[in-house]
Amino acid sequence: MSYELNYTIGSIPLEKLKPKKVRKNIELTLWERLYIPEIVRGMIITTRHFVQNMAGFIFPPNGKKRRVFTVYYPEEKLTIPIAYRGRPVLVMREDGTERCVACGLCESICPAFAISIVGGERRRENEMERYPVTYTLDMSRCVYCGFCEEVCPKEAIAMSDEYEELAERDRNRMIYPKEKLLVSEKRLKNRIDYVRKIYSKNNYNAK
Amino acid sequence: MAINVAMSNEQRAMSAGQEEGIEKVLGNSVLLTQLDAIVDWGRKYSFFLYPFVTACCGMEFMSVAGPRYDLDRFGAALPRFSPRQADLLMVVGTISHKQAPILVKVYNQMTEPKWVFSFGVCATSGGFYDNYATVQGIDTLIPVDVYVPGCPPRPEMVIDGLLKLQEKVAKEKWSDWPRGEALVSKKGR
Repeated sequence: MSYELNYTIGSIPLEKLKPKKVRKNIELTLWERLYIPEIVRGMIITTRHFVQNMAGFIFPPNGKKRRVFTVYYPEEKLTIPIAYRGRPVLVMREDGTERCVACGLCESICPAFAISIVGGERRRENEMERYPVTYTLDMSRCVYCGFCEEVCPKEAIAMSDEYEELAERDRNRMIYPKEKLLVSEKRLKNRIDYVRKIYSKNNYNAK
Repeated sequence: MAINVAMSNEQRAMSAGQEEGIEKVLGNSVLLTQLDAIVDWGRKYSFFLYPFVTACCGMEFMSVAGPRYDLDRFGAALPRFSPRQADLLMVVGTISHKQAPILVKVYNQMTEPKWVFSFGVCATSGGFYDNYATVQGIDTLIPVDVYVPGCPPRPEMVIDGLLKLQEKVAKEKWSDWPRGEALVSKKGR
């Protein structure tokens, strides 16, 4: 059996990579045994990091080429990738109604039993349609697993990229009613496309 | 959906309905309100946390306490590993019934202006451990100030929670924080 080692690390080809020299003999040189200069060198490194971060604290950085490691959160927000699962939201059509048909699949798959639905029927464009009369999501139990999104046949629930303002002082306020969960289709378009791709939801309606 | 939610701190303070100690004597005088303001200002930027870490949320606690998100920017960086030196109890992770007496003991041992931070869904409500072994939310044991959901919460959520706690501490009066031992412990009854 032979393995072909043709991958690269970063942009450097493998042949050019050399093993790094490690000092195995830990006898200190005279310069190191003088002690003071090495201490000063260490302090310079520490101070450099301190000054850099302090400057970043006063003038929060932006852009990708940043030297400051810390994310200054309330002022500066990271752009998070599309695969991130934030708080689950219901997809709202353009006329303000929800896509959900209250089939109860999300309710039954939810490992934390965080979802509870009461279904009903209503008239929309001369057709009868099922809809959730109440759709309650207990955010104090939701574990952001994304099963509800995966199981939903109508693409009516999606994990958004919202993660802010979820902390509460009162546990009663963490039970979200339907009105608090609705988010318009436009904002969730990217996520829904992504979900179609990863779960291959459209394989059955061949066109 | 059966959710039993214990009294929040505000409700408890309202139901108590009476001011204690120094406020009883001096009332809401100018001196006391100004002193309150300055003491609260000092307190909200100097939390000493006691990380009560029992589960995987601990990893996320490390990430929020580390240099990437840096709790030190909010003055809450220094974890104290003795409850007697700490004033913010971070309950990070699942609390089983076996663990509950320890949590209550740690809470009782803390010095008196003390706040409790529920970190993650397991501490907040039991999460998906809806079973006989797990405490369904630590607010059934001790008064909780801030709940942060998430499994585990993103560091940003934790910082949100900490800012909410700072807001609360900034408005506190002398009589506001719960005094004495937790109600579930024997002496507290």
